[in-house]
Amino acid sequence: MILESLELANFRKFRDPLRIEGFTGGLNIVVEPNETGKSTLLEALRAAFFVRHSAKTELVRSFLPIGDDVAPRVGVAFHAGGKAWTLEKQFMRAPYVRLASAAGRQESDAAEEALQTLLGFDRGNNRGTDLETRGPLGMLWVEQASALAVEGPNPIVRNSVRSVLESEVGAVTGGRRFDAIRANVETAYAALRTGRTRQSRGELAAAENRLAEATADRERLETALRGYEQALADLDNARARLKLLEREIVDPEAAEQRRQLVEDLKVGESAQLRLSAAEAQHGQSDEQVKAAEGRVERLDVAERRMEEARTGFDEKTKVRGEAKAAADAAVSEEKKLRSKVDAARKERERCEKMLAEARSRADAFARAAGRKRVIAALDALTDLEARAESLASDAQCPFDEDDLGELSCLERDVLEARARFEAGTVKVDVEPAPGIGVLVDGVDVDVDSIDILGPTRITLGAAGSILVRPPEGTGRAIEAELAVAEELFAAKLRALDVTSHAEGARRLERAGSAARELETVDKQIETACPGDPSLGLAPGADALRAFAAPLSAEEAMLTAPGDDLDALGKSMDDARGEEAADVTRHDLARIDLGKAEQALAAAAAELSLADAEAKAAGKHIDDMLAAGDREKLAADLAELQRVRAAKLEALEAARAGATSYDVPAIRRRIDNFDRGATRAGEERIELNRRIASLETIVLRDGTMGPAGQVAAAREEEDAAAALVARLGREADVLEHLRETLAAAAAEASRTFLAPVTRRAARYVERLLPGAELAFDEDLALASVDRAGLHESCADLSRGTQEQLAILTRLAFADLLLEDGAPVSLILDDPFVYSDDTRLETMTDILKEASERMQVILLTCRSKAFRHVDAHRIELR
Amino acid sequence: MATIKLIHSADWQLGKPFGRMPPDVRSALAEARLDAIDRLAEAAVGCGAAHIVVAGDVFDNVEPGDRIVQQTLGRMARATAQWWLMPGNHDHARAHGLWSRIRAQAPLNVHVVDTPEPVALADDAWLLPAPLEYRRTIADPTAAMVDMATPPEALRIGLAHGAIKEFGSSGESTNIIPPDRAGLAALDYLALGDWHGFLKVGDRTAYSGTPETDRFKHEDKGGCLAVTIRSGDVPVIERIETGRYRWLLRQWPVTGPADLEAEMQRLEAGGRLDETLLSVRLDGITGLADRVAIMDAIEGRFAHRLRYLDLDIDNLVVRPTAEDVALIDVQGALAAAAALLRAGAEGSGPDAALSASALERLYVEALRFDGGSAQ
Repeated sequence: MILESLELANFRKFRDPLRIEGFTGGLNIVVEPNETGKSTLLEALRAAFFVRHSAKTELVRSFLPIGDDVAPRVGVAFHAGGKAWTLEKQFMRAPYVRLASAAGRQESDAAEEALQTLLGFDRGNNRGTDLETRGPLGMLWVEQASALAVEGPNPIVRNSVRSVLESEVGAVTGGRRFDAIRANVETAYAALRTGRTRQSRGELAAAENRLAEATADRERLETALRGYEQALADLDNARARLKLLEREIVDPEAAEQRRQLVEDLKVGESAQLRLSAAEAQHGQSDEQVKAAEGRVERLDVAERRMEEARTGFDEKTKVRGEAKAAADAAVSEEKKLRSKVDAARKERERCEKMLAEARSRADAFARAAGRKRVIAALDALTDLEARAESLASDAQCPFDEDDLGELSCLERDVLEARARFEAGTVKVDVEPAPGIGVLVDGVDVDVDSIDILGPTRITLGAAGSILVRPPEGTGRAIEAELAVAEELFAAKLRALDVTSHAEGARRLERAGSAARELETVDKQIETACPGDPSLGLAPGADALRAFAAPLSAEEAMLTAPGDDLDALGKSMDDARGEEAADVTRHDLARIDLGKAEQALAAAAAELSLADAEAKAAGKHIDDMLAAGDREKLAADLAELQRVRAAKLEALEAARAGATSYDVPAIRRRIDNFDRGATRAGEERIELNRRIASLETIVLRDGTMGPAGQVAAAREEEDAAAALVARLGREADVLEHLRETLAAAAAEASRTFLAPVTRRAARYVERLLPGAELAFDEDLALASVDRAGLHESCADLSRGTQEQLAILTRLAFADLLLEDGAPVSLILDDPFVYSDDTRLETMTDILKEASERMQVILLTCRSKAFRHVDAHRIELR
Repeated sequence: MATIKLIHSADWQLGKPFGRMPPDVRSALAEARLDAIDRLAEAAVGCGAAHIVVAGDVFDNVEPGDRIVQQTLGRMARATAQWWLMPGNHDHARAHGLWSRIRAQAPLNVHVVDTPEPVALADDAWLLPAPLEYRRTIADPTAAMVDMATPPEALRIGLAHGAIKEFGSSGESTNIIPPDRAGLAALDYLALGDWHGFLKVGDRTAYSGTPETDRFKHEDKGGCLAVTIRSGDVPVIERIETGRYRWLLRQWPVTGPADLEAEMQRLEAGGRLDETLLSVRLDGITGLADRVAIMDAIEGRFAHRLRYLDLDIDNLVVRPTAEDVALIDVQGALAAAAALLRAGAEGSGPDAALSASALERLYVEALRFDGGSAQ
């Protein structure tokens, strides 16, 4: 087949019609600048031949120039099957195809089918992905990208090649029988292992799984068995330990040790008690020593006290003597003053009496005159007046309740003074023989009883005298008090004109009742005396009496008394003044006497106290000495100190005894024993618990038959292993068979493909001297052997791969050419990766091939191919 | 004069898993071992023995499951005889283990003798057991029998488990029993276990063998011994068959299917094939065609008739004939593959057997294809 011209319009970047003419039957080089669309030329050729005009696929749409809605058109003139042909095809809009030769013209599908028959390809899918259908031209029109891939030829080519080869080398394979048997072997193998990775699968994998499971089972059960056996051993061990422990618990030696310790503890504790007792005794003895020391000390104190008491007594005796002298002086002074007061009082009383009598007479005179004046008014009231007069007389009382109270007080004072006097005086009853005179302190008396207050000498006639000396200090004052009290009382009695308080009281009572009655009578008189204003008599009895009195006085009173009341009054006042002065002086003397007596009493008291202290001190010493004298006390103390030293020794001994038995340590040891026993008890419980637990485990696991299970598991594992071995062996056998079959098939292929190999070898020898090519069953170049090295195609360099791909295509093209098939080789920008030497070799080979077939080389590298003698077409 | 009649048995090995066998065979064998207990009880009734002594290895292992134990005790409970069970090396005695469990569950007529102390079977017959406490006992377990005291005039019956010491042997094996132990210990009879077949050692010593055979070692069916012991006399020993299955070990020379057929007929004449377990090794050299025919016969037919077949064809050597190879293919890739395999099979090295097998497989595949395409 020879392409003669190509014309295209509205095709991709070629919007304007482009026509390339003058392709020759040999080597053509189409040179064009890069990116001008040289690949589009190859695409347009393919479109013209392999893509149906009516197709609207993505590929077909890609023919449209970008942005234009036009009809892409391709026209080709070529020579094939001994005829010249023209082919025109338009796509998308008003699509058509025309195939014309000298014999005629065909259009539409008929044209397409005629084209398929003419060039030996099948109807494709119009998408550009159907290289399998494109026959020899599909293989030989090599675009840029696929030039690199060392691919097997498409089935159409393969079948063509096979038929060529079979005619050349004869039937060398087993054909269908071989394939079937091999397929069966593959199937059987695939049931056991995967073809490529040789992994176990199916029955073998199942057997292997079973083995793995059996092994795991066996290991698990062995572990369980070991656990069970361990439990048995543990149980045995625990029982033995329990036995040992129980022996330990009842160990008599330990019990004896503990008993001994308890004994020791008792001894230790009693030693401790002894120590306490010794301490107590020592303490007691110490106390006794201290007491004895105290006694001696107290004796010293008593003696000192005695000494002081004696000194004190002497001092107090002296003081008392002085006080006594002072008191005696005071007594005589008071006595003297008292006599003076007595005299003054008598004088005052005489004056008072004279005055009172004078006044009484004056009053009586006044009263008589009054009666005389009222007599005349007394007619209607005689009874009343008489009565009133009587009553008034009765009611007349020179003193009142206060005077009486005063009298009562004075009387009481007298009684009290007398009582004190009687308590403090010495009463001497005198009963002289008839004719014997009694002189008291030289004064003749005629009494049968004498109260003696001070030292008094009583002389009984010529019989001698008696000096009575009453206790000193109090008598005189009491006597004076009594005398004063009696004087006052008697004076009051005299003043009140009564003999006794009882009489006074009676008189006052009588006067009171008379006064009360008089009031009544006066009221009667008042009512009975309305008065008489004409006579100048006021209403009432008084007015009447007043009116009548002069009348009576004139009749009753003849003379007025001649008393000088003023003189009397003045005498009276003088007497009173004198008395008061004397009383005051006497009071002072009394006070002095009291003071002296108090001092004397205090001195006496102090003396008495000192005496008592002296006596007490004497008693004290006596008491002290009753327990023993000083020598005895000192001896006792020494004895007690000796005893104390002995007790201290005993205490030290007890202390030593107590320390030789360490009670806390013994207790600790006993505690340790007891703790040990407790622990042993706990351990026994724990052991019993553990034994029970182990027995449960043994019973539970034993009934499952762990050993039997292990035995069964081992045999199951063995059986599984045997099955794995058998299946593995079968797989091995199948694998070996499979490999042998593959090797036989490869060998057969080699024989079969010898013509292809031989043709390719012609070219390869020039490119890779000494290399041998091997094709696989799909006629694809599988490997290259050179210098004893086997190289897979994929491992070769890109350049070499491309060169070999072109050379194998050439070899197939040669075969097809011999078979009379239409052949044309188009290479799109080849040998990009080739070095200059290789490029030269390759261009030489292409040059030679171009002698048998048309070769079109599309390139942008005009320089690279400048040395090649070829028909050149420049695109502009 | 003291006399006793007893059944002597041993090596029951109950609970043996037979794990390499298919499940149906496994359960049949296990069941047969249990059935042997019933057979022993029947044998005791048959010969009027009141006691059955078991000389060790009652169980296959030291800790079988409760199911086995219960089944065993259940069957023994049904018997009228008294059972005397002694631990052997497989089921040796140990504290709190299997035998403690059995003793706790045993019916009244089952006695465990797991201590080396004499026990009275009857007033005038005493059993002197030598139980094993370890799987491997170095010492002679029967040595203690010498010092075991029994009432005067009473029969002394030893019960032990282990191998008999051969004169002049190295003495390395375990729990060895001297062959003259009966004489040394003044035994009237020494009942032994461990050897799974019947074996008499002198007048007064015997191995009863297992009641149900369990390995390809003893051709006879299992059995027990009915022993009549009378003081002063040599004991009278009678073997009673109790086993069901035959375990046959064979080595057949074959050149073709006909040889095999003849062997199978001989086997069938000897007993029921469905109660026969066969372990056979085929020896010979055959062509591929004969080999395939032999395998077809044995695997397709004989194996199904036997209870169990263990086939060893490692010694059945294949020599493919020219016809064999021609059958695969005369030319082309198949012929080439066959030639490769044949060459490999005839060579030496590990791949020779693989190549032979592969060739056989290729032959079978070719036959299968031809058969398929013929149909």
